[in-house]
Amino acid sequence: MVEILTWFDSLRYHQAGVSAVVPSCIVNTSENQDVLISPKSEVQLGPPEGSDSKKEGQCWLGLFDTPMLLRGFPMLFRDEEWSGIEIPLDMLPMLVNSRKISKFGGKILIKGFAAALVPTKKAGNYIAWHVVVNSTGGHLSYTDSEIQSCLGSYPRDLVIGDLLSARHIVGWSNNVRSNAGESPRKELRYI
Amino acid sequence: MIAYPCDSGSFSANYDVKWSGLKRPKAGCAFEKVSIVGGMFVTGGISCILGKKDKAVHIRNRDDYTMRLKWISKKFVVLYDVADKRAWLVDGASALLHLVRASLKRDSTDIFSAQFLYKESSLVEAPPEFNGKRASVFVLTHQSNMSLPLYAKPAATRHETNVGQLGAHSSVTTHTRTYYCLKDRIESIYEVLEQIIAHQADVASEDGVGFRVKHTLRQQLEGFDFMDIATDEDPLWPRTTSLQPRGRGWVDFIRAIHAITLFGTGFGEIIQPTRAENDPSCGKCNYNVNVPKMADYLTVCISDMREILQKQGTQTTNPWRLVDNIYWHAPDPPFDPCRCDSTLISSAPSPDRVQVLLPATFPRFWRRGMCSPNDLSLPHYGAVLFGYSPRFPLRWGGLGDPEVSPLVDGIENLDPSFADNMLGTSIGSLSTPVEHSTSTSSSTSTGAMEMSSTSDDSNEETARKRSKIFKDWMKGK
Repeated sequence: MVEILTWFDSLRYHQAGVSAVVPSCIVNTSENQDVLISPKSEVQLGPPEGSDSKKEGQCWLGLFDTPMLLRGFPMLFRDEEWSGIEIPLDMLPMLVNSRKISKFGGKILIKGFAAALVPTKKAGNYIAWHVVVNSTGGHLSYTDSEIQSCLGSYPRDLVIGDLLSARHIVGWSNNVRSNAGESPRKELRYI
Repeated sequence: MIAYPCDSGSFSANYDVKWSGLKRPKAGCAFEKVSIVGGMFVTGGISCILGKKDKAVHIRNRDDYTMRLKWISKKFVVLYDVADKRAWLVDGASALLHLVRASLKRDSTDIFSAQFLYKESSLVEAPPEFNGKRASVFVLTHQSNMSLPLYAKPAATRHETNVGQLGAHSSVTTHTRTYYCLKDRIESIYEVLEQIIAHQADVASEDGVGFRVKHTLRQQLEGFDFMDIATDEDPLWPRTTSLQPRGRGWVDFIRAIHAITLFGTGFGEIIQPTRAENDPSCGKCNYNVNVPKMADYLTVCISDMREILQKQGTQTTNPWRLVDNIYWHAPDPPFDPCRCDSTLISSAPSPDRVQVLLPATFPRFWRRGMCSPNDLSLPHYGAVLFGYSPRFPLRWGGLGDPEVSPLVDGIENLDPSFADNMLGTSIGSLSTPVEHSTSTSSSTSTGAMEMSSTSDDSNEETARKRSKIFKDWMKGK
């Protein structure tokens, strides 16, 4: 219960730009056995080291205005090569202000007015998406050069049915760093 | 053409449009490999909404619905009536509204009409002084219109039982009913149009429709069926028709502005004159009359022409340049009052209000004394017709520049489908156009339709020759 309350408490922090919170609290027990919980989360101002929306694997940062990262939140293990943010399929269209998953020229993508998510890789149970945003806020066309360039690495065998069962990682790019040789960890991983 | 208010956004046009019955494009057509898929809604167990502070700049502080309408209102759509052989160029917002109205009309009569909640009388229409795009945008953005329910979604029932401090139970049951509203319908149709527009404007890649269409024959008009979109057919397949020779004069223009084409039957008077009882009208010079049928005229509201001129062309040249290399020539002043009665006395020909579009690469272009209409600001709500003008007759082949040469009625303006059947080949499927041919042999399949003369002076003789060839050829059959 204390852990859940602490996670909730960390949601109230709000900083301009990208920042991170390390949720923490102090639990005191008084003489009459009352438990006193004091939140003591640490806010790390400014973008965490290495975060840059132009950097590989981190294009998803462009989807949010002032994202607050929670450090230490337990998440499912994921192979290192799938860097980016994992988002449930239901939420993907919402992130680009779209209502549904589209198909253009026979290829699946999610396109809103000014932003789009383009599948760039499929392997095992993972599907990677790259974010394309018209930074001016103007209309982004299906035939936009960046979308078309991303579609160059579109997984050929991708079908709508795959989307329903896969884990969706937003932020993967062609130039992802290689982690070959690193030992995979089998336990829950913490960011 | 004068005093033609644009009715595309108002409620006087016909919404009981029928399917075009056209076939899919054949090999070599620009839309050959294109199909439009509606997409898939994802509904899972998660119900969430993005917090205001979380939204990125590109979606914050802005209603994308309005932005979408703004975007599409700057696009152009050709509505082509395959039965009447009339084409209308309208703005994207008006075309969107037209599709929405046709879809509602269909819903009110189909087998699910018992579940259809929409009442036509509840739609708030634009004030009478609003015309064209302005009227369409008014209807599409009116708050009460957007929330008009079309169908009810399954009701969600929630049952809560509360246990009080003394163990007393109290229960509350709530029913939540949500609706599929008019705004949802508008967005669905918008999404289809956006995809077609993206294909039509795709000039960047060699596979792009916009790129390929530049190299397809002029008579080949490609697009989608209006009613396929209105009734949410999925997937949508493209359609194609062959234009008669007199209907090719505006094809380069609609391709240059990347207008998409929607085919249908029975569009009615999308743009028509609204005149008082005493206003004169004349069918001879097309003054204040409904757009003539079977002539493949393209009718465009003056307000749209002004916008195209302002954004893509220039009025500093004479004639005006509309877009790219396409210029606007008015053989006679289009907005002058009808003087046909007086011309009868003097036996002078009636003025020709049909407007002509042609490229500057046309021979002796700058030395022919061509001019555009005097003033485009006077007929504020007017419309103009583009097409074949007997006063400035142009013969357009499948590719290349036109030639001055009159077309012979009844022979060269055959219904292409009729010609298809007679000649045993499809004009639209020809890989190399037969144009500028001077052959007198009737063995060339399209010779009777496509032959042209190279001299302005021999028009009559050529016409006689052509007539004879056609008659001989018919006898031979």
